[in-house]
Amino acid sequence: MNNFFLNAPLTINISLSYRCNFTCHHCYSREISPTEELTFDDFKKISQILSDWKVPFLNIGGGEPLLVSWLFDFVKFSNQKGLHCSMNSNGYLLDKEKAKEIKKAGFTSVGISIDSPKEEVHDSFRNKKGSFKRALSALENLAEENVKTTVSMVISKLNKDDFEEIVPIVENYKVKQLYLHNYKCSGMGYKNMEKLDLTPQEWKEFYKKALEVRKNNPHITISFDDPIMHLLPEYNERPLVRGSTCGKLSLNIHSNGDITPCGFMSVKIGNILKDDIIKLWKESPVLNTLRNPVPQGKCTSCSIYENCLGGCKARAFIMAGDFNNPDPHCWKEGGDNR
Amino acid sequence: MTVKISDDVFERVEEENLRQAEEALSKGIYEVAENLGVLTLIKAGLMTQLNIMGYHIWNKIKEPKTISQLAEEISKDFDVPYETALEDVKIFLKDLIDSGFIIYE
Ligand code: SF4
Repeated sequence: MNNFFLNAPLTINISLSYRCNFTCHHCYSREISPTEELTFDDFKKISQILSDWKVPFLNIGGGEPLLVSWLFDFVKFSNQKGLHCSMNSNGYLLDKEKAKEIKKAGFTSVGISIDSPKEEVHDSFRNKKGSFKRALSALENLAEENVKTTVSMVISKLNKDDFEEIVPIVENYKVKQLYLHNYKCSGMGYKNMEKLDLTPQEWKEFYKKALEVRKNNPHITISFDDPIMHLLPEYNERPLVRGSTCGKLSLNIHSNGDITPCGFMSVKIGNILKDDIIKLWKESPVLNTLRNPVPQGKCTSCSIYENCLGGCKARAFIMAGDFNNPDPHCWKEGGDNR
Repeated sequence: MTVKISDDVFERVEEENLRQAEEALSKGIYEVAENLGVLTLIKAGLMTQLNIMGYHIWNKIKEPKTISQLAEEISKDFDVPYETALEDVKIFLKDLIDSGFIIYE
């Protein structure tokens, strides 16, 4: 069988609000995301639409979801509609009381962001003193309530050399999965790119080391989200969906209901409350471009194109204005696209 | 020893694909039916899709059964010799067992 196509996405990433108690240096959403917020009733309508469409997973991001006063009611409602809800939080507000509410609301898992194993680096990167300690106590509070947790780390110049030190730290808090996210050049991430983003060669070195770390730590799942890793012979994963998964497995819904292929691309394909989502999923020219990429530049002669498909489409689009441009993080020789 | 679906598997029928596959089968266009994913399976970050034939076998395993029971049923359903069905079932199960979607009990 070679025709992998879903009648609906498997995951919807949704932002109920972009309000945040942090001002992180790499924040992808600050400065580019809508300030308009739909009401709780609107979001209930959205849950109903997604449930009717048989979307199984709803991941709540933002902004900081815990600033939304009706978050738990929304999750309870969505659960009743058959959606499995998770969220990403900076953990600062996640005290024992909140952990109990999270458990009661029925979250399937909660992801906490930690960007360095060093307290002072994390706090300065996240622009909030005490945020490292609060992130760890959020993990502890969730573990006490038996809520499944994951940790997300955005890789940048600040943590590329010591990221592996986070593994024993988070293992103490029963964390099941560690996501090592590639740096996204959108929002503040774009503004601070020169300072924070790795060069293609540094990405290569980082991924080589990260695969070693993964091999040496089989008791925790270490996950990546970067198709260019196929360039490394030691990376032998063969995911069912090749290249970037945006618009193939997932979609993103903003706080005003606008739909984009992912949270890092500002290309709007429609609005969940105004447009026919099923039609958009099947017919959107943007989604069809993402699903049917055409190799350009050095990708045309790349032996792993079939698996990579040009890498992260958001990065290519932001940096070159063209989804088909080779991923700017790609270290393959044959052209400079940064 | 019976085979059964692992408890933590999430499954979703791709209804439109299923309709198209059934239509293709009814017209005898087997290649189209074979290439359409009609059931999506997810388990702990792993994902796979089954075509309409796989979907048919998958539904039979909703009740745990031995591989030979399964082959007998498939042999009857598709009117093929038992040995052929047994070979097909073994091929079908191999990847799903390796990736933990189906387990031995
Ligand atoms: S050249 Fe293109 S296809 Fe090859 S690894 Fe780089 S981005 Fe991917």
